[in-house]
Amino acid sequence: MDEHNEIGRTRDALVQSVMARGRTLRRRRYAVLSATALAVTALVAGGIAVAAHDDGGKVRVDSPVSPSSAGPVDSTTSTTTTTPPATDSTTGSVVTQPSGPPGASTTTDDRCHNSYDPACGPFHWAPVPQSTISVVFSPARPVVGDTVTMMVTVDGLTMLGPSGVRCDSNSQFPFAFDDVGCTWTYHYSLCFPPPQDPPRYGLWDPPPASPLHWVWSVRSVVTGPIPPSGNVPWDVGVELDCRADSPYQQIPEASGVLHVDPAPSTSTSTTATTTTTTG
Amino acid sequence: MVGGDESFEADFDEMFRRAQRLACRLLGDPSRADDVAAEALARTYAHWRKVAGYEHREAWIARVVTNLAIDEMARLRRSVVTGEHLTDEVSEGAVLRVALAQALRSLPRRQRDAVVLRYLADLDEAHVAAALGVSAGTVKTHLHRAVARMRSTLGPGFDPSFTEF
Repeated sequence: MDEHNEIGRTRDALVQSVMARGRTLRRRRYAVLSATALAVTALVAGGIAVAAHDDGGKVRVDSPVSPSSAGPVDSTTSTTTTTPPATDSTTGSVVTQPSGPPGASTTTDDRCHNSYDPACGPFHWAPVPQSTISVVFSPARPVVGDTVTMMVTVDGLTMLGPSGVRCDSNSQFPFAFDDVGCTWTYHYSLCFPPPQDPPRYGLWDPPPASPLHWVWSVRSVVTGPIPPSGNVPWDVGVELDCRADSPYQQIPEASGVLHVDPAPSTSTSTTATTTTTTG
Repeated sequence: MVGGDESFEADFDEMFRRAQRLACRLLGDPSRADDVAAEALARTYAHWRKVAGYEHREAWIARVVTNLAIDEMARLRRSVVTGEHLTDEVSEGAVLRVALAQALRSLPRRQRDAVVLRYLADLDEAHVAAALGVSAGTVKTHLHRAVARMRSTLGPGFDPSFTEF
């Protein structure tokens, strides 16, 4: 009993100690925020004073445009499309400008465009390049013994080209593209980010890239037996431009369901071939 | 009340247990793991009004624990370099920890978050995906690439279940 009470006291002491430390951290954070707010207020007041002086006594304060008011969100996605919001290249109009990381500067000031100034906030690419992906099975409704082709098509922009394809199926169905060639391939020497010295801040233009139209396919023989539903769900992801600092480092993903019909007899072997076309 | 002292105290034991376990796996030292877990929860409490409402706050805490542990291992690295207060047995483990910290630190943030949440905090892939706001497939991709990269740093025998650590 005494031991139990002792443990309880120790636990309570720990909780109180942690909360006391947390309050100290919170006060410190508020102090920093207050000091920052005061500094910003002083700067704005100074700016207004200068504007009033320069503009014949007329006070004008321009507010930066927040990303959320920049325009409607692009909703042109489908089950086979991954679209990080970006510029609509066909019309040239901005469909969606992705917001930067928390705390990112929202100013459109050129000083914070491709900047090395820490005052410009966290580094981020803008616009984020857009890509689309689709997966198609052929034939669409195979029977056991058929050879099925899964074709993955990716369109977008890249500097290096796709670095790998991943296929997943939660089905226990013994018909597995991922066993027969639908696996990641790597370009290790290219995937490590180059050193960034000095570090970048604020909004940066993505570097020049080439259009990508990439078609990849894999064939496999349906071996059965088939689960009662006959549906085999597939998820496919393609990694574009594996370098960590590349704006084209995306993993567009697509999902598809292959419906397999039963057949009187089933094969026991699985074969596959892989073809790649890059355009 | 969500975000109040009562809810923090009510959830403290579970949060501390998870934080301590993760810190211990990263640091290999229960005593220092206690300190890191306590500091992580102090930081959690400092942001409790916000964090209490997070659906996956364990992921938030895990990230804090990881960053603190990596800092702690950086201090350990200085000890290893200078050879301060280290016996042979301790120094062997310390070198391993330092290598782990460096390998984790070298990962892109998303990959590091995925590795920590999946393999060190033992969340399942669906949970990790929800916590990071990505699909389960993307989590798999991040894990696959992170492990490949850690193997290139720590050696081909590196086990993503971190059994060595």
